[in-house]
Amino acid sequence: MLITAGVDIGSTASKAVIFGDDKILSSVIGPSSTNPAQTALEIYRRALELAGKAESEVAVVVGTGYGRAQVPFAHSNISELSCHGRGAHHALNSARTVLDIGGQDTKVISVDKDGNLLDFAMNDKCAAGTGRFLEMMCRVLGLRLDQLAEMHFSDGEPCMIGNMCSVFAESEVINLVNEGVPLPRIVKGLHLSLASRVASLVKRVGIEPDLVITGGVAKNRGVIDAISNKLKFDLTRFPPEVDPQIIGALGAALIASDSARTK
Amino acid sequence: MPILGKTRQREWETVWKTLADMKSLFAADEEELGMNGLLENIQKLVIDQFQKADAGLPTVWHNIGFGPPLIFALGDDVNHVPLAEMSALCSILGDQADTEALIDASEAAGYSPECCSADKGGIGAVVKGLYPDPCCIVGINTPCDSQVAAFNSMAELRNKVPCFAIDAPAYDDERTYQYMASQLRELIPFLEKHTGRKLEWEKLKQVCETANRTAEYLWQWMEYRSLKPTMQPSKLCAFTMVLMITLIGSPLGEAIAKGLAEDAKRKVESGVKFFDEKVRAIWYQDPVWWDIQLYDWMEAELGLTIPMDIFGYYCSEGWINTKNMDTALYDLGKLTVNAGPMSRQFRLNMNRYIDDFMTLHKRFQADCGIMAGHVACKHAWGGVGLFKEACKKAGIPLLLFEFDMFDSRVLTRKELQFELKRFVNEIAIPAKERKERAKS
Repeated sequence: MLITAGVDIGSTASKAVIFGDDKILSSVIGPSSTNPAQTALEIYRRALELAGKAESEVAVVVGTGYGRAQVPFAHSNISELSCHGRGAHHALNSARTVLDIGGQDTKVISVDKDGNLLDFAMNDKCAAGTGRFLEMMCRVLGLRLDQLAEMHFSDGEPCMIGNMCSVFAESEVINLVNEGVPLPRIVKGLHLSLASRVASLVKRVGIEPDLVITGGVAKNRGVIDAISNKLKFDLTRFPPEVDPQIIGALGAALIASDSARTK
Repeated sequence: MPILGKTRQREWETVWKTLADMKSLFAADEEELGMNGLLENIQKLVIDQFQKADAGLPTVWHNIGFGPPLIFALGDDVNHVPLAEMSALCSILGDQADTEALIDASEAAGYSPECCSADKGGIGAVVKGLYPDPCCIVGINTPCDSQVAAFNSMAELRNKVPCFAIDAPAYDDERTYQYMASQLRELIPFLEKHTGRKLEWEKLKQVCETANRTAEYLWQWMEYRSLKPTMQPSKLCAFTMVLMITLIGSPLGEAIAKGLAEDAKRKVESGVKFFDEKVRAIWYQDPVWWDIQLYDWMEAELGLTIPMDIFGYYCSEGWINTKNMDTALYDLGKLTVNAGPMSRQFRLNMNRYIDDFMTLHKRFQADCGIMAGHVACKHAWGGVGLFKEACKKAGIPLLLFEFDMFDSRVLTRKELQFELKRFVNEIAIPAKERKERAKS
């Protein structure tokens, strides 16, 4: 069996996937650190352990993500655009538009029927519209990230919160808290703010169905609801067994498979 | 470093020194005849401008939408200064920090930060007194609103100097050309009055014939530039726009065009290959003037060549009928609106912008397009969705990014390189390979 691996070192989370026999053998998600090489090694070894495989059995390892150049054991590194496109297409063949909301940036990727990258747009200059935005706001609100979705579906109209700058949005949120506005309304407002930022990026590339969402923020049902409403378009879900946060690492492992086959 | 025996402003001396250094650098390279010709004639232009200014000869200022043939036709003893000259010279040949200081000077003087940096640098040069005082100013309202603002600012900064405004309609028909010709006809007595020179038909005819020969050389050059493999550096295509704005109708302009064409011809005939290209793109917007060496990096690092850009290609479209004064003015008017860099592309709706791209893409056998979106160019940004849609429909990979053509503070070299590298390696080259696989 040909075994390959993909290691995605993101700004907030690091992910590793061990792939073989046309399926995911194991996957690990862990926090990123100031020592990306060490983090990469740790999650890779944990993933190998979960898969019951040894390092020597892995034919090719591909690194991706912001820290891709810091994966010392990777045979090559590929940008997260190609990896997310490839991974999303593998997980859901009908995917043509991939929206990746990561910790540090947001990407919209257009792929063809074979998963080839056709076009993309990125917001990599500003925290607004990224996972970092929600993390910052959770700190201000004293909430955990996993509490946001539940609050989103509570009663109450969303507050209006600007989408142009996370720093300004933080001030707005502090003001709302001090005005006694219920937290669910603020959370809904934050999701709406993120959604409107993301929607303009999606429109730059254009929506080609199916539209899927990847990255850690994809686990927040509230954000998905807000984006669907903003775009007036239903987002397609990956099969339940696929974690949207490992799509980049999966794509890297698939590209590693291609590479191993052509060797 | 003194210029023609006199101490000049520091910005000019920096340009002069770099020009001399670059000339000696390229002179040693036999393969750089095209670049040598450019540098040689740019130096001649600077010398000519200083000689005329030192001799107290009349100077006409104009904004970049207005070409200089009618000024040349006043005789060899009239000076002309395109407003953006200093922006270009400092960025290409001098110190980029000087261009940015000129931009800041114009903004500090009240010129709108939203305007084009080509004009902002030009206005900064006026504020700093880098141009010889004008006897009159000619302005035109094309290619963009920034040009109108630049003309107004020139007029305000020299409020005793007579101005002539040309109104270019947003149409492309017989009436437009006639209207343009009639304004050029009115401009002649204005220029004669303020320069104290007489515009003779024989001289104008000579200027137009020179412009025609220049166009012919450029057409020949384009033929060679469209061939594969590429035989000359990509960066040469950026200078066609400079030629059109500054030198069309002058022997210097003709010499540059001739040099480019002959250099390309010799290389094609002798089988000289410039380098192994992996992918070629049509550069569809302004060149990166603050780092013209970026083209060298694209070639060396990415295998990416630019055979032609949007503004360079249509420079050679204007053919002037020299049968008589009327036919010449008619064609000069037509040339101003139809072949002028940016005036051609942004005066009408987006159809021409898109159609021109498709023409270039086919003729130059390109694999993709790069729309270097100058931040101030709202004309291009206003229709970018239509352009993207057309490229998508035609299956042409397109890179789109925001930058400023004269100001490196908006998008840095590193960021620009990142954008280009990502696009070429992840979209353009794989798309080309897929296309080739499908063909075979």
